[in-house]
Amino acid sequence: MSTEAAARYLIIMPAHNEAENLPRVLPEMRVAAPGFDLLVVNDGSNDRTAAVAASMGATVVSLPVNLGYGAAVQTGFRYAVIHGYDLGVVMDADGQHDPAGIHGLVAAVAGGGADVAVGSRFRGRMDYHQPWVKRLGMKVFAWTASRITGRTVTDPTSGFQAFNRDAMRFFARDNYPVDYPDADTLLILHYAGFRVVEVPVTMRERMSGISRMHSGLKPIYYVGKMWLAIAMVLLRQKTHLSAQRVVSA
Amino acid sequence: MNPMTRIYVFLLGLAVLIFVINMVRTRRLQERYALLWLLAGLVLAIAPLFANQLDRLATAMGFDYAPALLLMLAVIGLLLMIFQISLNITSQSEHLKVLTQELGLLRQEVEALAEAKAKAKVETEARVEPDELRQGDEEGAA
Repeated sequence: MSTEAAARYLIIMPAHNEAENLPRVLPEMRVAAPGFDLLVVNDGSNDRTAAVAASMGATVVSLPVNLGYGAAVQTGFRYAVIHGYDLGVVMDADGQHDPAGIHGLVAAVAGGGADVAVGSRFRGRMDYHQPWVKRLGMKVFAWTASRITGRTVTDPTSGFQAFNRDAMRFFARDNYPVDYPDADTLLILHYAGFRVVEVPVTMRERMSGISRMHSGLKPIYYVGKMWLAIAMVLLRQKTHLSAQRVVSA
Repeated sequence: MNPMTRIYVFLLGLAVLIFVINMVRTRRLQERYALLWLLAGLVLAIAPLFANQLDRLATAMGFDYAPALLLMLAVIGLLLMIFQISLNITSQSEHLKVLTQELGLLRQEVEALAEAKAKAKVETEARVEPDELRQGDEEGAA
């Protein structure tokens, strides 16, 4: 991979049934981040997500079945690694992430000061209401992640993040959770020796459709699974050999 | 254990063994997943032959109700089988994830290549056409 060429940036947008949101989200993103390549990972959608994204000039990788958010993001990392991108920004396709935040995230990583930048709505702005249960859950995981990493983590659930090439290569392998990356991902990064910083971003109400985690028993399952995932990261970090940072030459 | 019951249990074990072996023979069950089932059939077939010894063993182990030992062994066996299946599901879903991702990435690449090829073809045709016309003129002149 040539280093003389201009740095190549990729926006990775996992999308599951987002055909209604994309026509608003993509143009807004194009304006905010011109010069970025755009990859929409269509995660087994039942609607016209792939066709809409392609018609708006995005590169589309379609997964034939729905794998889940984490696996879709990881597909984006694999694409970025295969095509030699220097930096990847992961953001939601539902309009929740204000694309104005892209620059702060990119600056934090491109400057070389960090390998991963996490967009924090609690350092930045949150233009929507969240049920207190969810807020509390996030606080608990943020506190846990802060204690373990020794750095203040305010928004471990954020799906608005920027990664440099090393971090993408690391997650393209097998270190990325299949469903929802959360505090466990930050801990994995921490133990693998990656530098993670938080950057303020604005998160808004999603435009249309249903959010990923508001129904039925899912939150309970999610919290239980997250504690298990965190415990496993702690147990694994001394023995798991592949969970080491590999610096690209 | 009643002699008739012993015969029933023995026959049941034998039936399980024959059934499982036949499944493996016709390749509907892989050997590695057949092992635990064969073990279960074997235990069923052999247990009635040693019913008295089992009774004594159970009493020695402090079971007030001797068949409870058998039930406990059966439950442990079932749990082992289910656990084996859980392990298998985990590795299979990991394989499926990787395959699905690769499939999506490859399809994107194939489509991009096909598009580039179609574009190149259109361009070469556009380039060739004037040459052919000129050739036709020369032939016409000759």
